Amino acid sequence: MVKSENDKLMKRKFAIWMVLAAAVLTLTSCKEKEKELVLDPSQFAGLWVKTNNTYEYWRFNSSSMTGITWDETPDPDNGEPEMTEEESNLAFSWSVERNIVSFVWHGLMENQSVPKYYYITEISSAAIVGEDEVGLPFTLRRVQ
Amino acid sequence: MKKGWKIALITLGSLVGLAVVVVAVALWLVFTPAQLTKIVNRLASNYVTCDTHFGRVNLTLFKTFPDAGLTVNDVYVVNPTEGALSDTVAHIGSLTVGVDVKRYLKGKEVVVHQVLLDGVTASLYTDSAGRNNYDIFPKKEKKEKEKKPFSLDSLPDIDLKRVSVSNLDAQLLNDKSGMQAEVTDLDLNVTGTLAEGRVDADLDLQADKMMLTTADSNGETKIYTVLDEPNIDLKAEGNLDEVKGQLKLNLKKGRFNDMINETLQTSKHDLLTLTAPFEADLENSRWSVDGGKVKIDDYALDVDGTVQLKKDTVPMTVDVAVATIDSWQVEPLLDIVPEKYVKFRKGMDLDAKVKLQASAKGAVSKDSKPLINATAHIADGRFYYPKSLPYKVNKINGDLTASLDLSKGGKCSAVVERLKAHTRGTDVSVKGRADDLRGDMHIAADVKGALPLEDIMPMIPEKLKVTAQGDADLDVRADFKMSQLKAKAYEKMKLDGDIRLKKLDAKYNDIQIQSPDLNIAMQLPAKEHAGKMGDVHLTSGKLKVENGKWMADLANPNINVGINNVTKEQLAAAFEVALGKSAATLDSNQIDLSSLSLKGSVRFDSTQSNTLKKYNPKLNIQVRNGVVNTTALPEKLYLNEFAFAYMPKEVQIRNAEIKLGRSDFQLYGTVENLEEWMDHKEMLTGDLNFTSTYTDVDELMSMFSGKGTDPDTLEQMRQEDKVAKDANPFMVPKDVDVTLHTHIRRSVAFGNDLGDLAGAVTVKDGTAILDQIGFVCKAATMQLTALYRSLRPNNIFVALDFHLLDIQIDELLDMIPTVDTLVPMLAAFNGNANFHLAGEGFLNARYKPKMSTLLGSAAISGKNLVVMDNNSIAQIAKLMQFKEWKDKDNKIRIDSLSVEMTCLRKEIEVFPFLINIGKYQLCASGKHNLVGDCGYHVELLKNPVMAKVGVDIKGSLKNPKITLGEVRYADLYKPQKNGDVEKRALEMKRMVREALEKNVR
Repeated sequence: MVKSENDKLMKRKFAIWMVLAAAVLTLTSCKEKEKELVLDPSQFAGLWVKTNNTYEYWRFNSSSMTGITWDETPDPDNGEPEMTEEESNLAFSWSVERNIVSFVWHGLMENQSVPKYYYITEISSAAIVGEDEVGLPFTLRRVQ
Repeated sequence: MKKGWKIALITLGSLVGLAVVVVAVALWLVFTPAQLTKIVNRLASNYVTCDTHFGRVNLTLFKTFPDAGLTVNDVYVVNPTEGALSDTVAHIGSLTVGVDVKRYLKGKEVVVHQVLLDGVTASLYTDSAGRNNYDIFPKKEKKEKEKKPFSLDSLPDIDLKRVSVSNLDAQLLNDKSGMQAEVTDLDLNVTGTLAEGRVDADLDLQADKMMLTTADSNGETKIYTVLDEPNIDLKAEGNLDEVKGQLKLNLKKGRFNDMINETLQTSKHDLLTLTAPFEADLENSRWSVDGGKVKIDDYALDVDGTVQLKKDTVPMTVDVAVATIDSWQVEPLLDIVPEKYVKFRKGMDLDAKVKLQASAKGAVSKDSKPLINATAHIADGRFYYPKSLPYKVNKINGDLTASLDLSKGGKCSAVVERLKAHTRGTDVSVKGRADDLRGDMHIAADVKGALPLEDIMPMIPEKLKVTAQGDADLDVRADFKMSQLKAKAYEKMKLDGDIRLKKLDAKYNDIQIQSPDLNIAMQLPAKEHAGKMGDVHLTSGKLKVENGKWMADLANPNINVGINNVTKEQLAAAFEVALGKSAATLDSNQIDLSSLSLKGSVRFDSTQSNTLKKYNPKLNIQVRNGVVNTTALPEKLYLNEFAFAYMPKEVQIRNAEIKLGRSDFQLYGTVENLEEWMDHKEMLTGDLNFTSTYTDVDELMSMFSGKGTDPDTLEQMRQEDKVAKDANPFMVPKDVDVTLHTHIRRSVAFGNDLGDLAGAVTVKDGTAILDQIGFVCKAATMQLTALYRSLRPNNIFVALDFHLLDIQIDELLDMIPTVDTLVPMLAAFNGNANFHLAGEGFLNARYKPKMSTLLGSAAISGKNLVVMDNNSIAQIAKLMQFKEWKDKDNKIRIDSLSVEMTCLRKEIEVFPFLINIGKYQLCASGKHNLVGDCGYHVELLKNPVMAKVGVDIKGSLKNPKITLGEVRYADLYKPQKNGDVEKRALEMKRMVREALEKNVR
């Protein structure tokens, strides 16, 4: 009787591990599809705006592989934009590798390094679509 | 004048000679009048070339007794000459000659003792060619005579006991020289003898009028002289080398050109009276007067002295003294002075009693003049001349002396022995001397006075807008030359003076000065300030200076100034100032202090526009117990001690002990480039040490919020940024580069108590930097590097590099609540941790962060932490099937924790980190944003059954959904098995930590 219960438990655990293994295999499969996209830095050059925050701008320079972002969300106190391109502190350097675009923000302060990277799933002259490692979207629409 | 007399004397002599001829003829030939008359008329033609007529000729004994006399009546001499007033040259009513009878009878010697003329009229004329109508004697052949120098020995003996001329009227007209003379009713009586070198004479001359005029070649009158009723009485006797006598002269009235004015003409006094007892050495031409008196109108002088006339090569010498007999009243004296000499009197009231004494001694020649010494005593003088002094000066008393050497190169000097004057409440005395009056006058004077200041006011031009009340005591000694004064070469002049002002209340424009006692001492050249032109030393018990805007109330001021180059373009001064308890206000700002000492110098350069360059100050200032109450600060600023030195290139703050609000601090160090900074050419640089026992940063920030920038520029920026009025962010001054090396024992900042705060604070061109400030807070050691840049009021950049070592996590969250927002899971831990934060972003005018600009990273590491049990943890533990993971005390303990995270805009990303809880090892990572959404992943890496379980935490941070998730980090910490994702995660983790730890000391 006890053995039977142990067997049942073992079978249940095995079943769970099988499900997990299947899930892992499935996810691995998806990532293999993403790797098929190879990014070209020149595709990023220009001015973009976030699709889920139309005040947030991104400007890419593909020759120097630098860029800057700023958010022109109006200040609730006076309606003035929070930031302008000229005064923004969010300058970055960037690079691409296969379908991954990596950023390092240095800010205005010395020794500041904030890295980010996103998986790009789709890129065109009009839009960049991707997500981060936890699946949060990273989508830009070209302005210029 | 002399020539007229000469002509008159020649005429008289001619007449006397004629009389002698008549007498001789009478004595020898005729004794009857008829015979005598015929004889005289016949013989006259032999001696006179013109027509003559003699009336009756008589012998007389009684008229000339004891001499025998011959009297001729009506003698006419007629010589018609063109241009002459009359053909008759002379008419003598009666001519009598007395002859010594004894000597005639004894030796046939004709000795004339008396010549008497009465009723004489004469009209003498010289035409333009020089021909005279009185040339009536035959011309003798000229014989060359050897000219011999004149000598008294060559004079013949004369025993004329009496010469009398009565009722003489004579005219003289000389067309050649333009001279005209007239004598009316002249009586002359001369008695005396000249014999054997001895003279005994008495001359008495009276006339009704004598007149003389001369004209130049154009006919313009040069001399116009009229003597009314002249009276001369001359007595002389003695040997020719020692004649004694007395001259008396009286002139009722007279004129001499325009020298005798109307007042003198109408005076009841005689115009001139002269009494001169004299001695004359005729041999040596030396004349002396002893006890002589001269009186002009009513002004009498004593005259004594000697005149030695030129003889051979010896020049004329004089030794004369004159003195007023009584005091002269100046006002009536000036009335009789010709107007052209007293034009200055117009509008002036001037009077005094004056006594004069003067002497002249020395040779008189072309190159030499006698030395004149004079003294004057002035008494009861008064002076009133509204144009220069609008009130009367009286009680003028004084003594003056003068020494005048009028010869070439001679020196003249005057000495004021004493001179006092009084006006209203003013007494002034002057003492001094002036040398080299004819050249570069050298004045040395001592002026003393006591005067009410209001007496000075009328003398000050109205445009200066000065009023003053009070009393002044002057004691000024000056020594200078006129050339120095004209050239304003004050550095070569000497001045030593004291001015003591009492109850001073003066106003100059808007500046009012009040002092119960103010002493001003001046010194030229400077004694106390070597190399300076002069000293000015000002002392007072109390001095108050104010205008509508500012006020200084100074106790015991002691101000010592050395001045140079007063009149040059560059004024320079060195000074020492000492003040006792004093106060000053400017508008609503006030400073009180118990003492101030200032030592330094300024050099004025008018070519500069910069205030500091214009004055070039070099200052050493020390203030004690100062209290500054200014509208710029909400609290009083206490300057317990403030000592600094200002030099053109730098300011050395030697010691500044300051208390402001709850803060106290001591400051010392150097500030440079102040002048260039004011010209906007260079930045103001400084390196200062700041030590404090207590500093309330929050309070100071509140006090200085919104300050530090040019008001106009700031206001313009505020308008452009649409900043609310109640938002006043701290604007860091631009063009400033100042570093404060701080050491603060205790401080409060952002509500936190901080201890042992040390590090550098730099303000540089609109940016404030805290450079690696170390401090202790809540028993934790901390290090902060911060940057504050006020670009615009609504756009302030702030950057932090913050390191807290060994700090209680709950205290960290209490101290910096923002950490809980950034790392919400940290609230689940308890224990000590190290915390590193580096971040930056912008603030608006209310110091509210602009979240879209946030960029930062943080790292937390700790050991032996306790995890606070909560629902989320319990759910995770259940999903991971934890067993016996809590300690016996039911607490969850973590051996170690090391977390790196970043913040970009509103997103916080936690990089994978390991947690060891007992026999379990977990790895966690994820993201959340400031909105409250999260996406975390926790994975079981080690457990007793070696199962790998992943848990996802998603949704709201406050109430997340916790579910099983995929396994991601199985090989994260197995380098040999790392894939791209693992490598990237570890690289990012390393990058963040290295950057964070780079600045830890």
